[in-house]
Amino acid sequence: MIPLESISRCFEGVVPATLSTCSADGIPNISSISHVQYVDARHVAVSRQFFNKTTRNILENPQASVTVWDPVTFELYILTLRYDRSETSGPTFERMATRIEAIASHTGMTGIFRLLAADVFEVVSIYHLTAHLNPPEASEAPDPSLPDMSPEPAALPPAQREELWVLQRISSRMNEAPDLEALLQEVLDSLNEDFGFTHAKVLLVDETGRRLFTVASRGYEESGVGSEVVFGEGLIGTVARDRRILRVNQMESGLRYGRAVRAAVASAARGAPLRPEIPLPGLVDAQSHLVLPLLVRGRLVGVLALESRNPAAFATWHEAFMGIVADQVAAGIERLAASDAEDPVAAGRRARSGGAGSVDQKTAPTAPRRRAFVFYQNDDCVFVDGEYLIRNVPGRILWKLLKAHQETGRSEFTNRELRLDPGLGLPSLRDNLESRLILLRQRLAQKCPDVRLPSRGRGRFAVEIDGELALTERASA
Amino acid sequence: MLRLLHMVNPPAAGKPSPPTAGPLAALPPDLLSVLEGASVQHLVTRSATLAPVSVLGFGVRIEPGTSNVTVFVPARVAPFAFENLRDNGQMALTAVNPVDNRAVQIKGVWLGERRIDEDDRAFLLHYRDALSNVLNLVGVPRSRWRQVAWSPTLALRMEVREAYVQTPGPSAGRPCEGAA
Repeated sequence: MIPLESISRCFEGVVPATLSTCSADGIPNISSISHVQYVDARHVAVSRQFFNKTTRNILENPQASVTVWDPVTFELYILTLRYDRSETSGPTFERMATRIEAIASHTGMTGIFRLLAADVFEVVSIYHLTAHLNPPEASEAPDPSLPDMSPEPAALPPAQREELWVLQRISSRMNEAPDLEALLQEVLDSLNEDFGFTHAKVLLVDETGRRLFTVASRGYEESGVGSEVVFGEGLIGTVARDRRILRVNQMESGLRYGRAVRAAVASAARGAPLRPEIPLPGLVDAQSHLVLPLLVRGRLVGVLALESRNPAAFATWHEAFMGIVADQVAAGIERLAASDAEDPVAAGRRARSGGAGSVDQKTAPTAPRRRAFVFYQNDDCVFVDGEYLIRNVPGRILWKLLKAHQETGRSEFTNRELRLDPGLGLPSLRDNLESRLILLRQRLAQKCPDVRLPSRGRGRFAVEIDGELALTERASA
Repeated sequence: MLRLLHMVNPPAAGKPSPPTAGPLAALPPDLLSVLEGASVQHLVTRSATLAPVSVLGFGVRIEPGTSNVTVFVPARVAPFAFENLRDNGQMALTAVNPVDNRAVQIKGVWLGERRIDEDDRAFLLHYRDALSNVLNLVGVPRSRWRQVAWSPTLALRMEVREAYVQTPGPSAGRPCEGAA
């Protein structure tokens, strides 16, 4: 039999798959399905969101078949199935539920369209059908006067034969990173250079434990550093809440399915209005996503989110492969964030090679200027020259530093004194201070490059200011 | 924009009048347009041992004044369906609009095969072009869909006995009721 794993890219093709069943009295039934879930080498699962004719049929007659399209070659595979069981918990159910809830959340349908069960089928045989295709040379060319909205890809995804070397490279790069900021840069560089994932971002859990904030990104016009995602909202928020890997290929196909349900519910709705859709952060035309929780001993420290315009960018094996990478990243973040691990040698190396501090130097304006900072006490929010800069813990840290610098002339600070300051509201355990400082540095580099917080060795940093600052504190906006 | 709309909804070749008989008369207009229009279609039959199998459909034409339709199927994959139809005649067809997932299913029995005429050929060309355009909007390269062998095609006649909403959502699976 054709290995099931080898056709996994067909399980979420742009042409809808179909599930065929037959009742005990011999009436066939066929329905479109948005997604076939690979379970293991002998089983697939189909989501059940509503109790319907398909469900009744498989309970009466376990024979079924699924027809799937290869999204690249358009060859067909007909899977002869035998209904095995329905799962309402366990890994397969949880993975499918996460995917469906993410799409439901993304389309403002949380709680309305959800997974009732994962119907698991044994794959009895697989028939590979190519008879419906002409050879390319015998095919009629499309009308050249019509615009091609979906041209052929320039190249197929590269064969991943060197995955172990790639894994070794990213592991080595992470191992050499002297601090958290460098580690995140190395991870994103490696994902781009070694893996070919050009659009990626890392989000870390904030002090509330219910939100993520973007701490580093690659490939976007706007870095998005500082942007926030609430647990449970959208793809990233769902992964954070459920702590499970989420892979969504043919994103538009999934969203179309979700929107179809939304439209059907909205047209019949008598009750409360549906929530608005959450804009997907990142690429506006992303076709596929792979979102991975960063876990240390079961505790979420952040999320690694990859996306692509290629609808088949992430295959099933990427979940396992990138899961290893995510574990490495999580362990690295935990290690470096907890230890303030920056020794003077590493700091010097970073300064010479162009770390965040030296980038700030390059982007600093040549003419000193006056900057107006305003701190709003009601939400710990800092604005600079009328523009939002940062809030919450990093906002309080910045305000403390700027005031101290202005009132006393101090320009050297330690992480320890920040940790001991109860006014900053850092949690006593796992305070994420390093990541907050990274976020603060990056926001300053973007919005106010004449204020910088370069490192001065292990657990120490400076406040450098070009020009004059005017500091104002207000109760509220 | 007008050009795109024209691509998705090209003028029909000899558009038939709405059905007036049987379950097809109960189809709401939006689902009737899915059944007759540029939708992805699959036909399912079942064996003597109740094992279902589906094949690709290439368009549906409603026979005016009756509850019968003609379902077009590529000849190269038709043997899958023929054996089952000769055994028991049971068939069902699903049609899905790939852009918005509106979907309808019709169920019925096989009435036999008929010859394809010039009207059918015009319809099939029209269907092929419209579906290529629709699929192109959702990510299928035009050249790829053109590779599908549109000819030779078989015309299977079907008496429609039931019609169901299949658009995803709480109404999926409900029989179509009420006049069109």
